[in-house]
Amino acid sequence: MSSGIPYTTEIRPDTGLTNPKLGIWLFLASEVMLFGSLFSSYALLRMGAETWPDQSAIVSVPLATLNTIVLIASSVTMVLAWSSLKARNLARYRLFMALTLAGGAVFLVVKSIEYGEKFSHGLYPSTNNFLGLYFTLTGLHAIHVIGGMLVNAFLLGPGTRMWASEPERFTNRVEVAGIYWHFVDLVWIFLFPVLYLL
Amino acid sequence: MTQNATTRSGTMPHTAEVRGYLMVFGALLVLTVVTVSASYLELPAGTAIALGLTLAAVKASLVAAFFMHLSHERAAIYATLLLTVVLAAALFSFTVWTEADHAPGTRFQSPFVAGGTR
Repeated sequence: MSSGIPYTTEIRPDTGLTNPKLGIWLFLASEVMLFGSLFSSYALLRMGAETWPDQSAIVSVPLATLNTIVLIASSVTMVLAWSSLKARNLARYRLFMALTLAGGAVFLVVKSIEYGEKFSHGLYPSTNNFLGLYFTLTGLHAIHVIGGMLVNAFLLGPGTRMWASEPERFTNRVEVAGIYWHFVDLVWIFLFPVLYLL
Repeated sequence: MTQNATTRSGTMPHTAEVRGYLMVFGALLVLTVVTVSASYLELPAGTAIALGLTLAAVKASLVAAFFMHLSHERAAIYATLLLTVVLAAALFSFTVWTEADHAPGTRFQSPFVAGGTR
């Protein structure tokens, strides 16, 4: 093994898992608490508000629907990228990983258009509690998208070198990056109705 | 499974796996359309919230079960997630009870509304 990290491909006997697999799930557990605190803050502020703005009149449901479809599609291409590596097809892996990255980029472009519309109408985080929550939740989510894109870009570019020497370890890396990417999709699946539709 | 990452090179299982992922994709798209359509039905607030969150939970379950492979994971991950669910539920419950249990006239007000804070 070329690195000092043990159990990157072998199963660790006491957990029944590789270390990266357990590691990503422990990280995602902390992420659940992070987003959970913000979702509960949303519930607290909305339940306690004397009045609450008509959310769908402030935000753009069509743009958010488009972004939902884009992010779900990028989750599919991500899992197909991993699946391609399992089938030992590096060329197809590259195609699906590039599509995943493109999906993330489209999501961010659409999100920036949404933000631009808000700012042009004088709607800022300080305008009201809803917009404060909207920018905090979607902003934190966008940072997660950017983080995932950086990892995916590495795995599409220089990180691919590992495929030649340690294909199984590289495949596991892509799986772990995929689990994170799907979590980012999963958070958006809840953000979409909460901030745009309800 | 991770431990089988490079041991499966046959095309048949791979094709079936891809078909499965595409079926989940189709289901997620249909549920997204249903979610958006339901928001235009002018349902009572409680019903709309319950329906919207239920549909989101179904979609999230599909992503977790199939894309994140939770449908066939090891006990250590299920144990980790069970603890996470309990702690997240406690976090959510205590926060919401803080508001639900307020005394009359002490309801939280927006800090961004002039005069909203004491």
